[in-house]
Amino acid sequence: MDDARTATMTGRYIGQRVPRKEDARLLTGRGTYVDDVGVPGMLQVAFHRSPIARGRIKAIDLSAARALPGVHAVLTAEDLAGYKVDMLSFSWPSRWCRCRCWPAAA
Amino acid sequence: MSRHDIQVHINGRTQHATVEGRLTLSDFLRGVAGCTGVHVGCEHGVCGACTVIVDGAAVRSCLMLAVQADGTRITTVEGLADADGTLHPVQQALRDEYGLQCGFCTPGIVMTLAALTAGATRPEPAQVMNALSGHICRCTGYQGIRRAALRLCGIAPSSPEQAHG
Amino acid sequence: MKPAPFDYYAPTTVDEACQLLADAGGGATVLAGGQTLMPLLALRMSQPFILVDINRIDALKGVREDGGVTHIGPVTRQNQAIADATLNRVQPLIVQATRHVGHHQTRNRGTIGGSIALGEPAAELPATAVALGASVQLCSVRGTRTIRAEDFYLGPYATALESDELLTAIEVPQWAEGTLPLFREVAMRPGDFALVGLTGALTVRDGRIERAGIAWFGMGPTPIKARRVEAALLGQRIDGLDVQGLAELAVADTAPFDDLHATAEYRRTVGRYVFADALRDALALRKAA
Repeated sequence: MDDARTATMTGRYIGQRVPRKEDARLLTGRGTYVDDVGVPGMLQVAFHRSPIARGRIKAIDLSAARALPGVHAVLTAEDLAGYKVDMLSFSWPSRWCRCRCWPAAA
Repeated sequence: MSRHDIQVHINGRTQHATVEGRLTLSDFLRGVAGCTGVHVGCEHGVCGACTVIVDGAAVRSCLMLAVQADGTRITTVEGLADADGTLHPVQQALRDEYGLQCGFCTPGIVMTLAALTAGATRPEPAQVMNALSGHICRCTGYQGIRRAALRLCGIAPSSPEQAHG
Repeated sequence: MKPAPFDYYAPTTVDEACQLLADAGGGATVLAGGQTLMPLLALRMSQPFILVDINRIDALKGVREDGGVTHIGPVTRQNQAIADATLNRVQPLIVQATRHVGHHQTRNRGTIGGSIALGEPAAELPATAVALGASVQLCSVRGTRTIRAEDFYLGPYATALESDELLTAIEVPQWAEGTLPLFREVAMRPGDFALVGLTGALTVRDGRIERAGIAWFGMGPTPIKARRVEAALLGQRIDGLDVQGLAELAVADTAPFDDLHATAEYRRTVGRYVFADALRDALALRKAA
């Protein structure tokens, strides 16, 4: 790097308090966080997790959930079977470490 | 389940709506009034991100029902800066002291500091620090927020008082 | 999660509120400041059919003095109470205790009555009510009754309040002018639940303790009136008090348990220091006066 450029950068950035570019937007509530995103026809999703660790799922009864007003769909792993959603295992080493498309954390 | 007609004055404009009894003020402000600057962190009153000013007092909007806000004047973080974009002194102080990183907790902190500095007299540092204990920040380690708060109390960043506080 | 559906009512009189509670047959919950109830609703740990919001009942707000008794309206906001001129003059211990309740922001909505009615074992206000010999007034369609604070708290979050009753007043006797406040709370951070807390008042006349009211919080399933040490203090000269011995006696009445935050042993150990420090601070105040 030549001396002129070094001198300019030293003056402008290095050792200086550089204001952040995003602060004005974030300080005035104009950030976009995940829950702020809204598009037409957007649905909200809620995840229901097993209350038991290392259990064996014998059956899942979705009739009450599906009957609730405003519920568009209730999905289980079976419904996702056709979508190449891989389960990502977090125990190393694992043959699933190299994940394919749309890995989902199980 | 009951539904209620309410009228709430938010950042100087009047919002009319019909709401379920159980709708929280935070969900009302975000979803009905469009104030997505109000952030919901924990939804049970401990993180402070949802803090707004209701009739002059800083309150946790996740711990109020929208129906309880009928007839009140509410200020959210979107209502502080001037129309020409000039930042409110609280916003400017946080900017000057790098009191934010991701910005998620920031609106709540801004509103608490704005409520405390709204009066004619400057608040005492102890009072401000006590009020800030109602906010959780995962990013900054709080020192930038602390420096900004002390600035708002009239204590300059390089002064001896800054070292303690 | 969001609260489960309920019907919401905002009565403007005590009678209306009591009628709503009676009609609900136990399925209604009272909403005051909401700083405890709202999280319970959000987590669905509480699912009332009916919510009776008492914030619009003006008769339940404010502080007034009446013949040596301070009447505190239950819907008085905690920060309002801290700033109230009457309370600062005649009930300084209540003001001091309220400063420790929750956070500044929760104190803008949270009420004195809400804290008194909840009966959280680690809370400042129930123990302060017990220490000062306060009473609570309870109303229902069946009538009004008054019960002493020390009889009101039955267990953790369990009080003598019936499902159709509304707490309509907290009545606190005014202790003599110059009464020394004792207050000390140990918590991880400001605003956290107390691990060990002591609240009380001592009236001294002619160098002797004329009246003592002391209660622990965070040291058992309810506020604990430190009866043995209260009795031991009566009549004693304030110079030459056996502070250590009194601290042992004070802790002897407690029934702390182990929990996530501290063991019973920790609480008893810290309790002795808390009592000794609070007593010494109170006596130092007197010498300074």
